[in-house]
Amino acid sequence: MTPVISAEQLSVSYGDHKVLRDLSLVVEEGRFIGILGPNGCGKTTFLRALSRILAPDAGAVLIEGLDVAAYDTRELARILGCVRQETDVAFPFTVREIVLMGRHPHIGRLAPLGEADLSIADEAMRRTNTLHLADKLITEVSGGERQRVLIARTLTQQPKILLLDEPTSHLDINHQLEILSLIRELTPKITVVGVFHDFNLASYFCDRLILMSGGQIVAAGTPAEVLTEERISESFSVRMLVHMHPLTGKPYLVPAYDVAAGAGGVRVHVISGGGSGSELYHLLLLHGFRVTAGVLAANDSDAAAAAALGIEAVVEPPFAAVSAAAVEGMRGLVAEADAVVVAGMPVGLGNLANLSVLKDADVPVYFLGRCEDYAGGAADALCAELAGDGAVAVVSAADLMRRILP
Amino acid sequence: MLRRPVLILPVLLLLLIESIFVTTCIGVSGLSLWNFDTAMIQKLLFEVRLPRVCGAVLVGLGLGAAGCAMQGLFRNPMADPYIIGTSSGGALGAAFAIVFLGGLFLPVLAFAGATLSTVMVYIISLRHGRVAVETLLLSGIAVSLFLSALLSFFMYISGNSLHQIMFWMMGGFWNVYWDDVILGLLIPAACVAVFVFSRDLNVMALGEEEAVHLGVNTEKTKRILLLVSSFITGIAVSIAGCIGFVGLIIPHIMRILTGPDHRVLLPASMMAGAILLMWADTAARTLPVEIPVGIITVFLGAPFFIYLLRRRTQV
Repeated sequence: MTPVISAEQLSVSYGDHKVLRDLSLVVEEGRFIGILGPNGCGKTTFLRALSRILAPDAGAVLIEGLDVAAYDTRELARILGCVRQETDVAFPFTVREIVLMGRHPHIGRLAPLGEADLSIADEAMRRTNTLHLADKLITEVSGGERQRVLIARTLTQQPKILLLDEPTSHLDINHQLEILSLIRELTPKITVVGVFHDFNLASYFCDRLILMSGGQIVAAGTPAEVLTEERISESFSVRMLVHMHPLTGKPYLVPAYDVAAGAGGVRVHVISGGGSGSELYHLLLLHGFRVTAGVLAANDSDAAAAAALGIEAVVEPPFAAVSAAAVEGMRGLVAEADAVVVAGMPVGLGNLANLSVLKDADVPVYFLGRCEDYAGGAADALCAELAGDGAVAVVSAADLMRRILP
Repeated sequence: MLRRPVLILPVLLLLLIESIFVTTCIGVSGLSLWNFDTAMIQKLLFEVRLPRVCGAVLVGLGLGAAGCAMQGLFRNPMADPYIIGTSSGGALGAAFAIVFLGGLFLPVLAFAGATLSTVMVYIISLRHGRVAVETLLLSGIAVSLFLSALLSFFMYISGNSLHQIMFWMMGGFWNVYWDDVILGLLIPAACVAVFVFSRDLNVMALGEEEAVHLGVNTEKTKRILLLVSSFITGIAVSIAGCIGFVGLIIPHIMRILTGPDHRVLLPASMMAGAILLMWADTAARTLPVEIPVGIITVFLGAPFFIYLLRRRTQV
């Protein structure tokens, strides 16, 4: 079967600046292809070359097996539609007039619009939730509404191939999802190639992704194949954490928000549990402290966060009482620390040792949040004793920073 | 929004026809429809006043259409038929005829100047077979300035014919005869060619790339419309000189009344242009001293334009 779009060793430049280099791609009919890549990698240029806005220096674009340059403009417009990121409308047309412009390649120069044309436009407005705007001026509707109107116009064009240049990036999340769902429903009857900025939307909606960098395709395949931590960090120079979306099974990405491990200087030891320490670790690292932690249970999310952030921590197996060896390890860390912070945590008989170590430690101790006593009063008694020895209860993380920042 | 596209066209047509009758009957000789039985009055009416009215109608149709096409093409409501050097080219041609040929071939040279300057602007803007409207606009300004410098030189050395050049530059219908009217019949014919592209002009309001995506061959459309518009403007200039503001203000006002759809806007602008010029010329010839009609159109047009600008920032 002939691929619906194929780019063959395409090279495109703006003046002397070569934007696409030897790019080849075959798109099968009915796919929803997402193109990702950093700014300036040539995504939009690629789309513009596909739709014949730009002529290639070398190579060719074939649409349904025919060189795109050989098409008559109207004929191409009946096959290929495009929605761009922004469209500036010069004159105050009504929304319906704009949508009906989608019929332009289908009707004769002087022919009036038929019933069929009007009902196609109405249907497109209904699907994009813009029918109620039909008689408003395009200059009077909001940015999001305008973009939906332009999508309705492109649906009215009834193309077999739809090119999208980040058409939803200015929309609210609800409209982004609505529009992209709508576009996905159009497949596999039509083929969609879209440029995306948002990894997660692309991952969920597209069945194939293309990662571009420096005017070339660096990866192509299913979202799971393309969206890997290594590939993203190579192309975007940023570490993203790649997880599996719990409800869709598709990869989703969040920035790692990497902080440099504390470069020495002031040392702070954090005693926490049940996830009460992660935010504090990150904050302390951001402020340049060298952070240590423990004792933590291995299944505690604080232990995972400490490991991911490269924090030195004393860790015990889950549900075990803090062992003598661990206490010794922690005593060592506390002895070297310039301050100790106890982040409010549940205290039971198992981790009571975390607090008792502090009794004979010679460092300032801060309590951030209350420790809940599950040790039959022993924890409360320890806290009171520490307070008596000069431990300070701080009201917030900001308060803590004010006190310990040199 | 007071858009009444369905009503506007018949109303304008009625006004147009009525204005032709009424303005033909107004003049310094106090002639009226009820007593044109004598041969002298018939001669005055058919050989002086009617050709003059017909000239105003044809030039008005042309300036309305060309202004409309230029504003659509440049996607800018501030564009006018003279934007790409047509008026300065025409004026230069006319001044040349007045200074060096004693006024001989004036219409021909004015037409040649107007169209040649447009072609020149187009060629200057051409890059790899494409023309960017921004470049067109800027080269239009540059060429106009250059031609104006030449024109100033001609005026400087023109001596006694300076007044004639000035009068011509401001535009008027005082020496329009039937042969001019016959030449002017090319204007409505060319306007039909513009009308054929009215839907393409609509789509081009979305921008050229969008228009290409919707099946408009933008380069061809620009080339044809520029050529036809400069042809129309060239003829208008050769008949009546450089009458200002009609091609700018008329499409502007009509867009408010009819909306931007060129299938309605274009005929509306043509008829309104004709009506305005007929009445402006009537005023020009009935005032105590005959003054160039261009002075009247600008005198009325500029304040009105300012009013429009203040009323709505975006038209």
